[in-house]
Amino acid sequence: METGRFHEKYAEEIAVYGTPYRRVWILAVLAVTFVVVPLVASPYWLVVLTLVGIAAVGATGLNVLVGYAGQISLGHAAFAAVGAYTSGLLVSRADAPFWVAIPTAMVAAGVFSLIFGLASLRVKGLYLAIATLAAQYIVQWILSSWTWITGGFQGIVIFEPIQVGPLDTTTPTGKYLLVFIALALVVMFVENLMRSRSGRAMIAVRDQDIAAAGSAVSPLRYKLLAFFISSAIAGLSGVLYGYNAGLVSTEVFTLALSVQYLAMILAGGLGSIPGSLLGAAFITMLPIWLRDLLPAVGIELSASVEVHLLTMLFGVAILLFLILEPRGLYGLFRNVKDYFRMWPFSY
Amino acid sequence: MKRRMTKGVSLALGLALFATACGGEDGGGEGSEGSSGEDIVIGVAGARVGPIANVGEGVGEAVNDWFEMVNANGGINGRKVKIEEIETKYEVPPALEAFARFQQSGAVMVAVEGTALSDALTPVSEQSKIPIIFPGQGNLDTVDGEAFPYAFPAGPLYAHQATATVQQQVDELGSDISIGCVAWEPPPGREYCEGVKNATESLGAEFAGEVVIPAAAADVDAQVRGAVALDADVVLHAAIFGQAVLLLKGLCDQAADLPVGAWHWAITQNEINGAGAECMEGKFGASMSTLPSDEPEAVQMLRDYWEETGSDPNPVLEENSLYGNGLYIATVIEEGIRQALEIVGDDGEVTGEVMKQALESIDGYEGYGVTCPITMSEKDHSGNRALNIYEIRDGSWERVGDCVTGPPVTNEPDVS
Repeated sequence: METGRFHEKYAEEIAVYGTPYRRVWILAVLAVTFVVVPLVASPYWLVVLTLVGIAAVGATGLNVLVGYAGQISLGHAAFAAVGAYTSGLLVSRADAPFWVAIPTAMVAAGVFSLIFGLASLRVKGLYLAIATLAAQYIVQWILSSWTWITGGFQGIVIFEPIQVGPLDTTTPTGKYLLVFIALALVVMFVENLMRSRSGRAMIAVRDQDIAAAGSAVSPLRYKLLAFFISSAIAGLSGVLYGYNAGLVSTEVFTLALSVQYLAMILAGGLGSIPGSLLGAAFITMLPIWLRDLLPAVGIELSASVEVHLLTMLFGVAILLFLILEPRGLYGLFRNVKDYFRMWPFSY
Repeated sequence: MKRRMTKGVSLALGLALFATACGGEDGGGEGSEGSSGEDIVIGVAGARVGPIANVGEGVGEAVNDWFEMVNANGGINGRKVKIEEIETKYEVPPALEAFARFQQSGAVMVAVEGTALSDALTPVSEQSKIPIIFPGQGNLDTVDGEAFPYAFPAGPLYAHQATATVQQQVDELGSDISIGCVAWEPPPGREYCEGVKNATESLGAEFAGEVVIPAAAADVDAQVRGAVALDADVVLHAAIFGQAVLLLKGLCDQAADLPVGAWHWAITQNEINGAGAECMEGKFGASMSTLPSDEPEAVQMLRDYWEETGSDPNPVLEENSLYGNGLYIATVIEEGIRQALEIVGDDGEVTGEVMKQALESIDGYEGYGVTCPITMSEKDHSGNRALNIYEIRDGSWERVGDCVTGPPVTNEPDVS
């Protein structure tokens, strides 16, 4: 019986594969994600999972900033918009290949966020939230007013599908694979970032920035780095959105999306990658489950009543969840896991 | 050894991924099928919650009421119509999920509420070969059926509403007038004011300028002052709901005699109740549908049905253009299905592709008195560009212009 995990070396402390089982788990998850699901899932479920994947990319990006570096942002939908429009315009107007446009879009989103990241050097908490909110309004204004960039008030930019060999984003399977390949790369990058000096420095700044500065960790550098990385990943989620829908328009990247990203990492668990993924799945799929639940239990309501009831249930579910398990879904998962790991002596 | 094993597993995983991508079911491009003799499923991407909740409620209620009546009367040529409404909250990801669910349910056409959603669903409708229909909303480019083969505005777009209203004002007051515009900040509002600008220039009138209301503004006092400062002879607005009421009240306070006109989401009882009958007297607006208060044949049919079944009339009917526009959408869907059944026979298999063909064969349809004549073709999906003009007289909306069409919109695709 396992009585605990004791690391004797620093390398063990930061190992990706903390236990031999973890390697198996990761390979199993990859096999299910990239082999089983595309072969087994219906087109409908591929669409739903693709939406979860896009949300998970955005939420993981935000978790780098909020969960690991302790800086709040209400402007991540704006950074996603910068990524989406940069990529879409590069491909549609400059005929850039997607493999050039996507990294460029991520860099553009990251650089744009630095303007607002600078505010984090002077203000914290709610004040920083309002500062980043400015990003949202500025981007929305640019998209709806600078028609020479967006081509009109609708701001529609068409994303030509990616058709490279078997990867075809005109099909649900192709979209799913594109999004989950991107998600896997993001997760791998963030996981490794947090094992690096930079990741630990971000956590130090989050926990006590004055003490971090006293330990030769520059809050300026690491706050800006967190903003850059987090927003670049948000930019990637915007690009993925564009390839999934086939276009972007000015009404997509709203403040509501920024708030949803925050809700995802709060519901999933701050400062954890699995938490971001679980939170994205929870917030995206809960309305679908609730919608399907009512007829399944024999409740048939008029469309008018049902929609408002479901909206209320969605709010109540999130409220209850945050009250009962403030550490999020990942906290809940760890509780359950620890219970069985220590069973029959769990307490 | 460990490294070799990891490499081997990675290679196997990579090959499996490649095989999956090659062999996976894509489900796209198949089109949806309403099997022979079965109910015909129509999806409604609803928006009863969120920024256009009033539109979603009005349109959703009208479409559901209409097909409840149609089904109770035996369906269309004996085929029942199943309306499957899924709420989107006017957000794109839920709309994409809803569309996939409609496809799974075998929907052959999807009615979409809101420009952001009609834009977002245009590519997937083409990929899945299921037409989307969004009268009175949407992007001007979609009138071109060759560029957007599965997108059907099937009614006047925002710029058309603006040009028709300007035309009516010029007809009434002469071209020696200046017209200002107050826009709701999102694209539909801006496109409306761009239409006002185009039409004033085309008709020799003067465009006095534009004032913009931020999407979520709770107070529009600055915009009221801005609109008055334009010093225009007429002000047209594309505000909605609470903002429209605040704007109208403000204009009544600061420029009581200023003629003010609205787009078709603001010709509701809500405006009269909110701003007050005295303030609203003489205000006018354009509507793609015949208002329910005019009691067109479609509304009489619904009243008869409610009376026969002992039901109370739907209270949303009182919201006038919101419910009326829903009836417009419902009757176009009905006509599309009727045309589709003519193509495949009453028990034939209706697919998304058949519905596209059916919609493109609609010719001069007047939707039980609810619509101005609608004609569509493979090239032209606009349906019509005509609007009824209403004015408030003695506290209620009264029609003063029938199916008015304005000058051509400058940047509209040529579909002639």
